[in-house]
Amino acid sequence: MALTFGGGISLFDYKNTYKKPFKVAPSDGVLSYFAPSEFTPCVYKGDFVKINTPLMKNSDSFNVYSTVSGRVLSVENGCVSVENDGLDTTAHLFEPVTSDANSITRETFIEYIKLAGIVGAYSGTPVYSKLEKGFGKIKRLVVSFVETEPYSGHTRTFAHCFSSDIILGIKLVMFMMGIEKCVLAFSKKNKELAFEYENADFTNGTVTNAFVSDKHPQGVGRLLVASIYDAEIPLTQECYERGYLVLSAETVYNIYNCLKNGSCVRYKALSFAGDGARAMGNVFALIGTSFQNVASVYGTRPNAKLVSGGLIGGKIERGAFVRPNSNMILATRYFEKHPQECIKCGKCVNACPMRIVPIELYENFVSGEHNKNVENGLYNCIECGCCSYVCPSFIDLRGAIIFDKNRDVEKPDTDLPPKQIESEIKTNVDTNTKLLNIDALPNDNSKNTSFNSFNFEDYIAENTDGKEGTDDKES
Amino acid sequence: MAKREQMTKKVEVRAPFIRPHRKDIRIMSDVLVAAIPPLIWALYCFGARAGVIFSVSVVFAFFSEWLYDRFVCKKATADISSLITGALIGFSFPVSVPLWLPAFASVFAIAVSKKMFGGIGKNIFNPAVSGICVSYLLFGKYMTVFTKPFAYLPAFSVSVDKGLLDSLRVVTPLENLKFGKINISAISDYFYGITPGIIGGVSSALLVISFVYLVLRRKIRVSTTVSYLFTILVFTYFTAYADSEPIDFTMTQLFSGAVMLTGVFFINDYTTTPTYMTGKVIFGIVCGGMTVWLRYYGMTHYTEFFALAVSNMLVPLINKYTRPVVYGGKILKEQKRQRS
Repeated sequence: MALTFGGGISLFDYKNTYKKPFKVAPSDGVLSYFAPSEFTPCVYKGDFVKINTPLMKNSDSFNVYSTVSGRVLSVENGCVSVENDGLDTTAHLFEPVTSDANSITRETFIEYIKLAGIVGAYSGTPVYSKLEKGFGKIKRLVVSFVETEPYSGHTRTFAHCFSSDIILGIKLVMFMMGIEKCVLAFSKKNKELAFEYENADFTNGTVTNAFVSDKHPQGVGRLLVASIYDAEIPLTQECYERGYLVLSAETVYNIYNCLKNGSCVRYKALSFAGDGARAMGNVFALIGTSFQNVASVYGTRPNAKLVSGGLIGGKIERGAFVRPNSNMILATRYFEKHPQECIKCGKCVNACPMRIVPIELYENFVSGEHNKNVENGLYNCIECGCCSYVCPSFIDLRGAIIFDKNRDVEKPDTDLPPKQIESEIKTNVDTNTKLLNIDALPNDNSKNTSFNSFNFEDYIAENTDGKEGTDDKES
Repeated sequence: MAKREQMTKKVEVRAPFIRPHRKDIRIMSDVLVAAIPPLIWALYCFGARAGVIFSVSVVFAFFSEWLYDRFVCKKATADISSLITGALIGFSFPVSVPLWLPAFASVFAIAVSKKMFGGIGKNIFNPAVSGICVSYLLFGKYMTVFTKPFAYLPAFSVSVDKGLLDSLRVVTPLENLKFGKINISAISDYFYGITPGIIGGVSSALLVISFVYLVLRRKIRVSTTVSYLFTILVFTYFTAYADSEPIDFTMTQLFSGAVMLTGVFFINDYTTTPTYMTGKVIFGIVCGGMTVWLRYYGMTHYTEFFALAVSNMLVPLINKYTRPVVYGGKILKEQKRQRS
């Protein structure tokens, strides 16, 4: 029997994009970078930026980087747009770690991760803070290969393509953080993927496989720990405070790859799927690429609407651009739902993994009793969307809870780009040639040729035998 | 009401982005499908009059809801929950009942017990149960005339001739139990349904088939039914007063009256039973215990419905004390204790 948690929903018979090849999305046009409200922009409109140029930073000097070179089109609070000039001029970020892993200390390791701006591939929280605050407490590393959203398959495909690099990344994190035990969490149906990791040579600790259930939302770190170790971590605590460091496979790869190349995270692996998609598949997209560019790889059907996130946990976020924690772009076609009266079936209560009562929160939200909701565990919601999915009356429970959670914070819920950018794009269509006139721009010759010619498709073809990467093998 | 609409309009996040393929109508139609096996047995056992009683209650339930929506609520609602109420009311009468009585029960159930409390999802009492209970309180003498099976009564006459009824009237197993008499050889007949009783509740075997269907279709959970039947089994086994084996007494209690009908259909109503799993089990225990208690010290027939009506009143209390603890809540409490 697979390891599992209470609640959640079992999904069957959904096609997914597992083992479908990765294609690289075009990155021409405008790229937009989003960050939470505590980030302040550190570029001005009209500036020329390169790859690895910081665009926004927070008070802890954690940066959001540009993944292309070009001119800054607009600067708003929490959003910077850059027009790609297609040249991929690269700035120097830090010296790539090419020597032995013993040569860098733990502090520099964490400093490099912070400099590279690595965030969790699913959670979107900075990785360095986990490592910094959790050092000494962390006893176990849990690497997640689980994805439970219907259609989603990019994480497993990624793990399949880059297995050698991920293994090196796991070894690096274990060695630097002094972790001796590591668990690789696979979905119970993906035993073939686990075989690829079985023969890896982990010299500095014990690594075991754990097979967890396919229930949604099994991929959430807290529930993964609950399934494997039977440890219930309340929402007021983080996993690392209790000794578990949960990282997804892509994050581990990013840590390894950024240190090796001395650059920020540029690419994000995505699944592109939905009933509005002409074909489903996996995409590598530069962070900040517009959804239209990603969708153009596989094509969409007429009237399709592009949504960030999956079928169940999808979110209409501000700005239709790829973020560091976007995992799926769903092409869905509009349909009307007609919510009906609640029949008190209690399915939402049984489905909730956090054991809150969604329908009660909804009723209180409708009658405007926010304080009552806070008492009943409103902020315990992890927005997995199980309740909305199982509701036979189509009540938008998740939407109501999210709205109530963000009541104090002003967050516009639109899927259109900010108005300023839209107008900028329109006005710049005529003067496009002027904008792309490189001679007028400040000259820069510090190109990183290795990264400039970096192509993921070639990379996959070259590195499937796993000979690359010798920097972190400790003696 | 206007505020409610405003608040629901504000919510624009529309996940799940999936075409609706599960509707509440599907749940209700599955319950109606589950009602087919007992109905077929009723037609075979009690003749066409059973079908007429069933149709009258269903039609009156549906039209009373439609008229109430049309002229009182002034908006159209589209659900078929009233058909279920009508079907269950039709199941709960003996075949000798005059035809206006199921009509009255249906109208009362829908108009008073369901719609006046605010419609679907807001009623305190199970509408069908309240319709039957009120009918019994007001017109009890019509409802306790049980005729023997396979004696077909005239189908379309509004009330059956009294002389005919007297000639066909028999004593039910429940009435025999009151005096401690058990017919051991007839217990298998009780299970298969060759026994006097209410239309839908005589054949326990077919009701088990309905139950299995509903469970396989994932429309109901096993917990409430099992706790209800198990409670009755345990209570009657240890308090058997007849001069035979206790198990015969228990089996007679389980397979006569409306225990199986209640256990399969009435007790699994979504609205009037507790929301949480522990609460559902407690509800089954309370309802089963109340049924046995009423059978011992109270009336003879229709005890299940009165027990259910009383248990319905306890639902808010049960819900309050069986609320699940929020994820991690126990650990937080322990930490607070340790600190203090």
